[in-house]
Amino acid sequence: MITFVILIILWTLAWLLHLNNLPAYRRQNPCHLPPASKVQRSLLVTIPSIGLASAYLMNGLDGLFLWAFTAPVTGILLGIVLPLCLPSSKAKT
Amino acid sequence: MSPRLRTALRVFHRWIGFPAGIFLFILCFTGSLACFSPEIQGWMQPGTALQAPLPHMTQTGLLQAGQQLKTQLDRGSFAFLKIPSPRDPVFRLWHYDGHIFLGPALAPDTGLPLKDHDVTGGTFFVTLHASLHLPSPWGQIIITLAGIALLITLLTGLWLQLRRFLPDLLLFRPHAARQRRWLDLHLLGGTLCLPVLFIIGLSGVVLQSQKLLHIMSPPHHPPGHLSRHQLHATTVPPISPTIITTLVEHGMHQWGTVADGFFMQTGKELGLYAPDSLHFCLQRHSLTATQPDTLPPSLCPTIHSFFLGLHNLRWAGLMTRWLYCLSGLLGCAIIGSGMVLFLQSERNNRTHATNLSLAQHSLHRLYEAFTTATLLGLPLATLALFWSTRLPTPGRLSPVLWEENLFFVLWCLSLLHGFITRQAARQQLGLLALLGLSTTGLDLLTRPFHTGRPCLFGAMDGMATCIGLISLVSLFRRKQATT
Repeated sequence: MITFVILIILWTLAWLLHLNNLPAYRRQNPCHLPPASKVQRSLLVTIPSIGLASAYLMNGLDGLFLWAFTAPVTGILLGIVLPLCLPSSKAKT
Repeated sequence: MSPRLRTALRVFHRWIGFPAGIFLFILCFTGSLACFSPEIQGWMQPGTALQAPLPHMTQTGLLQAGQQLKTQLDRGSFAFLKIPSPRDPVFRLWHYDGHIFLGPALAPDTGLPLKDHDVTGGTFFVTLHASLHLPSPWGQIIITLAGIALLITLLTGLWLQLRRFLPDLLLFRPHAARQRRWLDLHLLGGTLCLPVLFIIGLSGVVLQSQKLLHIMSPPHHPPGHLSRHQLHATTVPPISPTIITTLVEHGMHQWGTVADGFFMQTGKELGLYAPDSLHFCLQRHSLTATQPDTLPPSLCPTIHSFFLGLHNLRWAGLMTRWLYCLSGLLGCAIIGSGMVLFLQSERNNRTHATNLSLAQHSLHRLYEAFTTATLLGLPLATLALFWSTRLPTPGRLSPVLWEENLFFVLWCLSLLHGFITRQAARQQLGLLALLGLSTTGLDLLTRPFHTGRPCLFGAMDGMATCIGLISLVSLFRRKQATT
């Protein structure tokens, strides 16, 4: 359960960083992180790798599968929820 | 990408995806249910849920259950005895009837039969997933073709979306037009679940192809070789309290646990098989009275066992299994949204066409009916099956036969309903919402309130309620769209 929670947090962060890297007109994201920088881009690569390593160390093989299944679930949830937080006038249609 | 290639890819994606989507939706839906086959069995047989605190397996219970197994084998029934585990805390004295596993549940502490009738159970969905309840090899052929179609559809979809893969990875526009919303949902799920779906699809295709190869060229046996069932007909293995106790002791020593393992005739002896959840690769080790030690396990003895481990995930923990089930349901959402998009684009083509023949009208009706029966008829029949296990069986019918027939008849009726009226989807959504939302009420009315497994009943009722709520929301949205 702890691994699952950690992975959700890490994947959420990774997806938010990915959204932040996109140009403003493509972004359906009400969360305003600081402008995309080199640090953010390197974090975007590092965070999933850290997640994978820590999941394996904490739960072994089960952790690897947990890592793989958490990615689409958090991504889809964020993809659906974030644009709903934006007022319809601001959302790109 | 040239426009010609793009058009060709779209044609492939749509015309392979839609017919295969019917079977793929069934496979994803039943696969998700099969992840929780023992839990579904428990829900359908509330009499086996026991009172809290759950009793543990005792020596008396084990010996009594062993005695019951001996009685069954003496009678000529090829039964096996499943040992209690946290997922299914009772003994199961099961036999295979050609489709599902049937037999009494025995108390873990006394070994005496628990009062509940036979039900179709969770193995019904496992068989539906593995062979669509069709005679061999037709089920395997259809599933293999559907699996190959899934891989082709995933690859053509990826190729079509390749240029916008990363920028549109999390793109969903809830305020856009209806067709755009469905396309966004399809792409959002499809791109994010692509690796998971590809691995599930590929492992499924490999497993079914191996089954097909096995059917087409069965292994050669030396003359005089007897199959397990033929052997059972000629000899009944000796079963004594000493053998059972020794085997369990050896099993505990070698595997650390025997929970979820099973006793079954192996050769002319009684064998204790290791739990399936022991290793990633499925390995059927058995201990017998003459061979009480197994060989040191290899990591993955065959390719088949590796793909079984990858596809079935029997070794996985609860959270991973939940997420695997969720991935299957996401697969259903992707396939479902694809089928809806196909219908919408066909409808658009039809509105632009000036003269439509009767055959073209009928063909469009056929698409709609199949989509309704797949996306709504299957969950409806599944919920009805769940309900039928808790309600009395009419007349003198066998409960299992009644439940199975109800499932298939309702599913066929859903298809017929789709042909007859254009309102079929709306009416079936209403029925699905009603059944889903009232499942909790039915559950509470037809089982003892205090049980040893409240989480199991809560989770199953919660899933049914979710189906009900989604149906209700869809129903309201459809109404809003038409008014």
